[in-house]
Amino acid sequence: MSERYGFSLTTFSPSGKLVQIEYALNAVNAGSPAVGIKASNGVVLATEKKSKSILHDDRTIHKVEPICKNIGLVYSGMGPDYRLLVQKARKLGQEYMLIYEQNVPPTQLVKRVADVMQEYTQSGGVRPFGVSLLICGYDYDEDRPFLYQCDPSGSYFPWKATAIGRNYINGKTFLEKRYSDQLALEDAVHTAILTLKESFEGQMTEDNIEIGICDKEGFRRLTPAEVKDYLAQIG
Amino acid sequence: MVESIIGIRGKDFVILAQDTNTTKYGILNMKFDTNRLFKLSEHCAMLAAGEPGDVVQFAEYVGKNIQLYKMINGIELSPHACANFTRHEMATSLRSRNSFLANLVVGGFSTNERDQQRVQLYSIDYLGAMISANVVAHGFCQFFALGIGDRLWKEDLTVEEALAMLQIMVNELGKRMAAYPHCVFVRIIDAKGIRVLENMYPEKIHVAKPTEGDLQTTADMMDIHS
Amino acid sequence: MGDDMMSYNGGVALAMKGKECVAIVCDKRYGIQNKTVATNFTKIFQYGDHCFVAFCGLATDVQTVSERLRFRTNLYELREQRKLKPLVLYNMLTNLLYERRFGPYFVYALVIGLDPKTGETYVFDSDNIGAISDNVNLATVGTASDYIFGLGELFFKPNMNADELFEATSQAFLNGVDRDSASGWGAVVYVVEKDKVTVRELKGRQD
Repeated sequence: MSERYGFSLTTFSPSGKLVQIEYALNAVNAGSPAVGIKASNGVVLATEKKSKSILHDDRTIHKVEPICKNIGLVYSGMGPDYRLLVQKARKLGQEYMLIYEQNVPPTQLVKRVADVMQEYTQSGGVRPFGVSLLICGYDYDEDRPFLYQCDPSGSYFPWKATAIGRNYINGKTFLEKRYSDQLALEDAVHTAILTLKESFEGQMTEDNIEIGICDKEGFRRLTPAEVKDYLAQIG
Repeated sequence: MVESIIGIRGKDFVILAQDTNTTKYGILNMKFDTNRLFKLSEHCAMLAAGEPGDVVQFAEYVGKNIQLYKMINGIELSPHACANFTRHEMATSLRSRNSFLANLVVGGFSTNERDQQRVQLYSIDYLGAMISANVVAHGFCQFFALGIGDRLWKEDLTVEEALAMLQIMVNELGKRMAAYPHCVFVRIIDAKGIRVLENMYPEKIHVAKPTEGDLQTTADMMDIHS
Repeated sequence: MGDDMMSYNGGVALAMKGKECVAIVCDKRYGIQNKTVATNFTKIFQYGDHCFVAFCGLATDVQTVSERLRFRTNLYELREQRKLKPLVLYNMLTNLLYERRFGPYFVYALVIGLDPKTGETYVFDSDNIGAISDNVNLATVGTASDYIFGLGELFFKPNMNADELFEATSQAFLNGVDRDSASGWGAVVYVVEKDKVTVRELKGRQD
């Protein structure tokens, strides 16, 4: 085996910034928006899923992904980077299960996924991930839902509600006005759709948005039929 | 196993005793002033017996690392910590490609005033099984030492009493073992540190001269010769 | 090789369930084959508030495995900021043991625990390569386990209170241990209840 040299691309600028990470965040902010809202009894994730061509088969690609029974993900930014993180997150979840015979608590999974993202800011020969994640899950020990955001830098934040991606500032302003602690999951789904609508261009249909919900029963992606019902209720 | 190492815990001291014979082929004595004591720190030492090469390698490795700890951190490891470190090293080596064959006695006086039990004595075998006890020993002398210890040890044991107990053990070794210790080195560790005490020797066994009568044969008795 | 390693130092432990209480007991002998070297060698270790583990087998591995499990449980509690639960502890232990599947530690283990909220009790055992068991009423490992198992089944009855449980556990243990030359020399009993843990030392036969 020959000696391998790796130099980290992420190096400090003289002012103390890591510009590579800032560029990664730019990629996130240019990505399609995603929203997460924590309700009293669960969490909802929602995102725009616009296809570039009418020939795309919308229903076979997904942006909201389940990680394990009680955890799900959505992202803003670069799709291929996201797939790698989903794969790693699933593996981390199963590794936890193997040792403890217990569903990984969302807090633990987030910590570990964030560690992976941090590693890509310091290792040689790699670049940071061009995605921010919204991770939602149900913690059976604490008997309550969780919503986290994970950034390319490896930092993570717990939220009551937040938005990432294009127009996230408007999304967050909207959520600040609409959010309440007593919100039930059903209402949270409505609020999430309305938040997306704030910056949505064109007609919103069950095929160009995707929604995932997580409660005591676990995480699941809503079917297009269910999404259609929600859209009809909003009108 | 013919080598003897013994530790006795007293009121405010430990006694570490060892035989001084180096044997070869199990029958030859090569040396009569063998040292088996390895100083670990100012108030802690280790007796080691077993495969001669392993004993020195292992004891010095452990000893140097404990001294290095003091250089790096500026504080001494307590005998308790020394013993646990030693056990860990022994247990790790047991599952490596080449393990050490050495049985150990670790004893000392803790310089930490907050320790409940400042006189600390441990026995570690070559497998890495560690026990803490008032009297510990390794080798065939274990048979005698532990029994005598069980009978004579008491709380608040004084130095005189401990040495008297040790003398009984040494006498028993001198009397009952074919490969007995010709001389025993004795060290004491207390608040003042490690000191060497007088050598101990097994009591000489006096046997009465056989009488002329013992030489008589049946024929003599029957007066056949005359 | 395995069998003589398991009985080289001697020692035994027993665990039993009651109603909202659970007991575990071990002997105190440490020997080298037929020679008794120490009579203060206990084999029960506490991990978290309501969880105890007993290890029986080769003394060096009893100490090594207990220390390595301590290392992992401490890290778990720091990393996850949560108390250790009996099932988690049991899975961590069997996981640790199975990591050495092809060069095992020579210890069998008992894990007991109690959920202080619900009062649910846990008793598990494991062999030296981490085979998992059901949550049982009664489990025993060690050199005298064959004798103790029979006595344990005799003394066990469902839904005992803490005092009855202590009595049943102690009687089964002490009488079983007397039939085995490699274990005994006193015993330590832990009775775990919702709000307290009681530790009692039993003298037993000293021979």
